[in-house]
Amino acid sequence: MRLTEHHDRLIDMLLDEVLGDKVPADLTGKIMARVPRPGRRLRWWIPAAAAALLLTGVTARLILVPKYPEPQVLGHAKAGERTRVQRGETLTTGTEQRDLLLGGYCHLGVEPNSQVQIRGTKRAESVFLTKGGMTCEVNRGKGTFEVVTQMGTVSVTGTRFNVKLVEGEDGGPMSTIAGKTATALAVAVLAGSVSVQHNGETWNVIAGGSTTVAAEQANGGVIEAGKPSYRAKDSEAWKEKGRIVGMVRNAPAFTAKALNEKGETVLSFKGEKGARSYELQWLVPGVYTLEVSAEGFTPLTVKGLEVKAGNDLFVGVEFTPRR
Amino acid sequence: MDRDALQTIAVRHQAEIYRYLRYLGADRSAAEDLVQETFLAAFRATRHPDTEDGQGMSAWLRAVARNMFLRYCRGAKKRPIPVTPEHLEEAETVWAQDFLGRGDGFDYVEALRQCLETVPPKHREALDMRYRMQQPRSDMAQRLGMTEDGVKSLLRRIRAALAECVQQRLAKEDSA
Repeated sequence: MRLTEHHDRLIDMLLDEVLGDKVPADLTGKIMARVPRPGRRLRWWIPAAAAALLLTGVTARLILVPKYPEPQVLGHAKAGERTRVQRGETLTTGTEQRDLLLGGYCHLGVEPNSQVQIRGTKRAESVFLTKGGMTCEVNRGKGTFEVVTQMGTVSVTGTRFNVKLVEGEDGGPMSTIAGKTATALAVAVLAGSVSVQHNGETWNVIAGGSTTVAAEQANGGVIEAGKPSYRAKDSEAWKEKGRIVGMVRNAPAFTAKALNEKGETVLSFKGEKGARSYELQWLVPGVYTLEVSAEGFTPLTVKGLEVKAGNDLFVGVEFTPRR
Repeated sequence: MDRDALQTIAVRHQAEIYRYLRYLGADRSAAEDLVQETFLAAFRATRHPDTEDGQGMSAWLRAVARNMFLRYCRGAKKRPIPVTPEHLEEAETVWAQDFLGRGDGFDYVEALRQCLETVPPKHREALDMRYRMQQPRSDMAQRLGMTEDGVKSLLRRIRAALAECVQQRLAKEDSA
């Protein structure tokens, strides 16, 4: 018989077993563990059908549900033209009125010589009126809308109303960024109803009604911020995130918000009366604005706070009530 | 094939398929993985021999294992042996005719044990160093006063002598 390399390997394998006691391991358990039990064997068409259903659903949603509209300014240069604007941007009108569309359900007619910053998020639209006035028309059921001013907030879910800051001279109790003084906030409701929040009070105004909030009322307490400082966190969990925290003195019930560079609220913290601290956690590194507000207090805005990964950014807050 | 049938053939044939894969050239770890893959492929196969037909099932499982080994070698960076379908067919012939020629290979292993008794002391020492103590060839060369190539050549000669001895014993038993 001719001996080949196959015979050599056969003897080699057998010697390994006979002399080296290398008996084959029992692999029955490992084999059986990889076999599905009766009744649990997955039919091939179930995942395929689930995937097809999911794909159909996603496609139908993309086709049937329109994309959420970005903020737009109408009548910018010539009639009918639309210009897309970013959240966080401030719109300043000249001698003509401009129309602002938010989320497809808020139509704002911003009056001449007005200034408004676009805030809010999808289906929770919001603007910050710093000067002038506007007429707002909000379609019911599509989302919420509020006009924030230094003198109070006007919230609606579906209505048509007019809101206006009445300006006085410099040096008054409520200085605006325009260098003028807002002495009153006037709200006139044309259809539906709105809720006005001011100095810790909330009241509704129905169609045909109006309300005026005087500056003297708005100028309640003062909120002040301490000097920001950093402290590194010794934790792997915070390797890629940071937070804004701080001690609070004389706290009434208050809200602290972190806004991103677009003016969108990223995180909100509600503090109870007597709270000793606040914290806005798990923030992605970047530049934020801290807003602290409380009933009866002029809101505090601290801009340009840089949140660093793995660091606490301490910003203390002190409330001084009106004497 | 259901789970019970798979368990039956796994218990019955896994050691043979493991040896077969080692014989084809797979190392221990690869052989264990390929044994599992072979039986899982058998479980998924729509056609297979009767599970009670031991020889038929054995030959079929070896064919599945050969394909698994071929696929493994083609995907491996360092190929254990030159593998082609023809090469594996030749290996199968030696296994089926010489190793299993008289049943399940038990006779072949017994013949090998007897032949080991007749190996000269110096050769037996080399076998013990290589297979019992798993010594590297460099250590063996130093101990035996040879070059590494010399050790390799010596082991090959011993295995050839053992293979011939086994064949002669089996032939003798057949004629008796």
